[in-house]
Amino acid sequence: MVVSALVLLLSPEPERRARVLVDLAADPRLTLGTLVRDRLPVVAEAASAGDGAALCDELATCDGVVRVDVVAIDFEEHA
Amino acid sequence: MIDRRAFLKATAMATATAAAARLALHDVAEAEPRTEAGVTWDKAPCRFCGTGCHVQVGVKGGRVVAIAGDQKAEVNKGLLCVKGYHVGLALYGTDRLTRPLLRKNGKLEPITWAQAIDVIADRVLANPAGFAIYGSGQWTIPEGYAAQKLIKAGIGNNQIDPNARLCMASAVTGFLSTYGVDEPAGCYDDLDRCDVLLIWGNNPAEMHPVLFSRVIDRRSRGQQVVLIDLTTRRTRTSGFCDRTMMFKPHGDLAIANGIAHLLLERGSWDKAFVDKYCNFRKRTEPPTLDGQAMTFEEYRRELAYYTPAKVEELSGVSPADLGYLADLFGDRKLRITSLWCMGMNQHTRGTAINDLVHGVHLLSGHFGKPGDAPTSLTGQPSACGTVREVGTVANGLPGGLVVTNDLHRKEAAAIWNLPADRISAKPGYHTVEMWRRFSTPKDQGGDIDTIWVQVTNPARSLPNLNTLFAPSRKIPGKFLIVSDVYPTATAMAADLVLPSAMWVEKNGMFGNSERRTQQWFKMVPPPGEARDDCWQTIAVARRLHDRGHPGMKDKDGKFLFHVVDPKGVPVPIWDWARYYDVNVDEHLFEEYRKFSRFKHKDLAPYREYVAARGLRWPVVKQPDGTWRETRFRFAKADDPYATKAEIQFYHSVTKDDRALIWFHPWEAPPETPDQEFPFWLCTGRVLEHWHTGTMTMRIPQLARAMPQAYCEMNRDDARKLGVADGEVVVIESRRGKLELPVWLEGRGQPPPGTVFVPFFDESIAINLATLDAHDPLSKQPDYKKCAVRVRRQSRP
Repeated sequence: MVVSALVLLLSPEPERRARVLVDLAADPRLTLGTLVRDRLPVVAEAASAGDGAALCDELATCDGVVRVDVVAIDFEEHA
Repeated sequence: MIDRRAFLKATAMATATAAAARLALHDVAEAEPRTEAGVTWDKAPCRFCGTGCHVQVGVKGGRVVAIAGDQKAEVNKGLLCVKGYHVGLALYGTDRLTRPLLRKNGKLEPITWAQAIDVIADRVLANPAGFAIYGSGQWTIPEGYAAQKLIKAGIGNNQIDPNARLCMASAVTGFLSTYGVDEPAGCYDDLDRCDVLLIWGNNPAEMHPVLFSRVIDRRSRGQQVVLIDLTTRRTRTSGFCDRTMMFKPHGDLAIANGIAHLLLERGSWDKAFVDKYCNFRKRTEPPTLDGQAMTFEEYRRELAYYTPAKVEELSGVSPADLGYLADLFGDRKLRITSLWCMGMNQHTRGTAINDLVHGVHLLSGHFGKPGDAPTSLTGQPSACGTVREVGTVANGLPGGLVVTNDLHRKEAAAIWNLPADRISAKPGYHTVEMWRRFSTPKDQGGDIDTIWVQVTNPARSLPNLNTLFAPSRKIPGKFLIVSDVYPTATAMAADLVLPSAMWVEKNGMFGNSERRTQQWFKMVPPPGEARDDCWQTIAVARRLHDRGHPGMKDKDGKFLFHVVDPKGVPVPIWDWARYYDVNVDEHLFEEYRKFSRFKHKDLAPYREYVAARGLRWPVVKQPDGTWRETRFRFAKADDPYATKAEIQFYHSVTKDDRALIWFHPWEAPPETPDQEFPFWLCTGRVLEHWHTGTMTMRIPQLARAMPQAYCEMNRDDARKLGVADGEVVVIESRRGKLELPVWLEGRGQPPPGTVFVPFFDESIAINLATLDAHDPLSKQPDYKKCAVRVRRQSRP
C-alpha cells in the first residue's frame, strides 16, 4: 500500500468546484481534508507506487482540478 | 488503538493540510515530521535536476522508506515533482553494482578494492600525461574538489572535464563575457516578482516543474504574469503561455538582435542605465571572451540589418511578435525575467546567444531589480556548485580561478601549500577533445589513454558516439575506468568498474542553479562493497603517494589529503574503515571555501549549511556573527560587494564596473537540412526521466509512465512518409542511425520538418546521430539541431 499526501488546486468557478468535490468524495481511494481557500488536502491510497502515480495523473485531468501537487509519499513496503 | 494504515493516513493528511494552508494562505506553518516509531527524518537536496528542491528523507532499518517535500525549503516550499517524490527509490534498483570488476579476457570479473586501486595507480604511473578524469555536475562539491585537487595539484596535467560541458558551458562563457564572472545575478525570487517571464528555448513545465509551478501558482492567486514561449516545438510549457512564438532553429540570434534593433529604433532603450553601467563589445577572430571595444554608434549600425522583416526571414518570428517583445522590453515599469537552459546553451553559437539575451536586458535596463533578470537554469544538481564553483573543468581552479592566470595559480598553490610551479599553466582538453583523443590511436595523436569516469554515462550522453566513444573500445592501450552505481552503458563498456555509493548513502553537498549551496548527511549504508567516489579518489591519491608519485605531497611533505581529527591526530582517510572517523566533506569544504573569496563567491563555514536549507553566495559574515546570503548580485540594495553605485559589476571585463553589451551576428548553423537529410533533429528530456535514465528507468513507476524513447513528428510529415502513430522509423544522420517508434500528437508537437527524440533511453542511443560541432568559446556541442532523414522501417 502506498500512501500519498496531495494538495489539489481547485477551479475558482463555484459550480465546477462543487461538482468535483462531490466526485472526489465518492472515490474510495481518496480521503479529503478541509478545503483551505482553493486548496484541498487529500490522502490517496494505491496498491502500488505505479498505481499512485496513475491516480495523480487521473486527478489532474478531472474537470474542476487545476493542478495536483504531491507533497509526500510513503513507499516503505516497496523500498 | 490506531493501526499502521490509519497512522500513515493521519500523518499524510497532516502533511497535506499544512501544505495546503501554506500554499493558500502563504502561511509559515510547518508540518510536523512523521513520528512513527523507528522512522527518522533528515533533509537532503533532491538527487536529480538543478532546481535544488529539498526533500525530507524517512529512514527505517537502514533503508529509505519515505520521501516528503521539505516545507522549510525556500526553493520548493514543500512540493516535489514526479521524479522528486520517487527519488528514494533510485537507490533500490535490483542491479546495483556492489563489487569492483576488472575486464579479463573480455569479461568483467570481481576483484578486491585494493587491486582496483592498484590498477588505477598503475595507469597513472605508466603515463601520467595520458590520464584524465571525466566527471559531472552530479559530483558532490567535496567529490569534485577532491578530483580537481588530484588532477591539478597532484598529477599536474589539468586533464579533468565534466559532462556539464555538454549542458551549461555556454551559460558560463555568456556570464564571463558579459559580467566578467560566472553565474546568474538573480535567483528564483525573480520568478515570484516578474511581470513577464520570457522562456527562451526551454520547457520548464517538464524539466523544472517545481520552479514553473511557482509561476503558475501566482496566476492561480490572481496575479498577472505574462508567459511567453520562444520555442522550436510546442511543449507542455507552451500550453501555459500567453504567447508561443515558434522560431526556426538558430533563429534566436536574430530575434535577440531584432529586439535590440527595435529598442534603438524606437528610442525605448534605457539610455541612463547604459550610460552608467555598460560598454559595447564585438567579437574578434579568433573569438575571445574579452572581444573588442565598439562604440554605441557602431553597435547601432550593426543592428540596423536586423529589421523585423529580416528577423522574420531568419527566424520565422513575425514582425508583430517581435514588436510585442520590443514593447515589453521598452516598458520600464514591467519586470522581465528571461529563463533559459539547454536550448540556448547546446548551440554552436551558445556564447553569442547568451551574450545577446544579457544584452537585451542591459540595453533596456531590465536588470538588478527583483523580477528583472536574465537567469539561466541548470540540468544537474551541482552543475553550479561543483563544476562552475569548484572549477572541475580543464582550465579551471576552485572559486572561479583559472590555470592560465599566473596570479591564480600562485593563489591556488598557496592554499594547497604546493611548490609554486606545481600547477600547470596549460589547460587540459575540453570534453569533446578529451574523448576524441581517447578514441584516436596514440600514433595518430590520441594522447589520452586512460579516462576515469565518475557519476556520468558518456557512452550515451556524448554526441556523435560513433566518433567520440565507440572507437576507444577497440583501440589497444585505451583503458576506461567507471565509478557508478548501476551497470550503465558506459560501465558495461569499461575495463574497470568501481561500485559507488549514491546520494544519502554518503555525506554530500550540492550547489543549485541560484547559487545556493546545500548540505546533507549520510543516512543509509551503501550496498555491498560500494564506496564513496570521494574516498575512491583519495585512496588512489594515497596509493600514488605510497608508490612515490612526487605530486601527492605538499611542499612540507604532507599528503595532499592530510586530515586530522579534532585533537590534531592524523586520520588515514584512505582506509575505508577509517573514512567516516572524521567528516571528510567538512574538511575538504573548509579548505575549498578559502578559494571562494577571490571572485566574491564567499561561502560560509560548513556548519552553517548543516542548519540551513542552503545559502546563496556570496554569504558574508555580519557584525553580529551571523552569516547573510545574497539574493541579487551586483545590486547595492542586496549585494554587500556592490558599494559604489546602485548597480556595480565589480568583476567587469573592462575593469570599470560596467557590463558588456555584445553584438554578435546571426550565422547559419553548421549543418542544415537538405535534400539528402531533410529534417531537423532536436533532442532533450521528458518529465519522468532524468539524463540517460540510469536511475529513473530503474524506478518502476517512472519507467512504466514513460517506458521508451520515441520520435515526435508532425502529423503532416508522418502522412507524407506513410507512418502511423506507433510505427517504427529509422532516423539517420551523416554520423549514425537508429530505430524507434513514432509518437504523433504526443508530449510535444514539432512543426513540419522537425523531429524530436528524448535521450533518456539507454536502449535507443539518439546520440549516434547528433553532431559534435561546438561553440568556439564554451566548447559545448549542439544537441538541438542537426540534419537527419527519416523513413518507415521496412516491414518483413
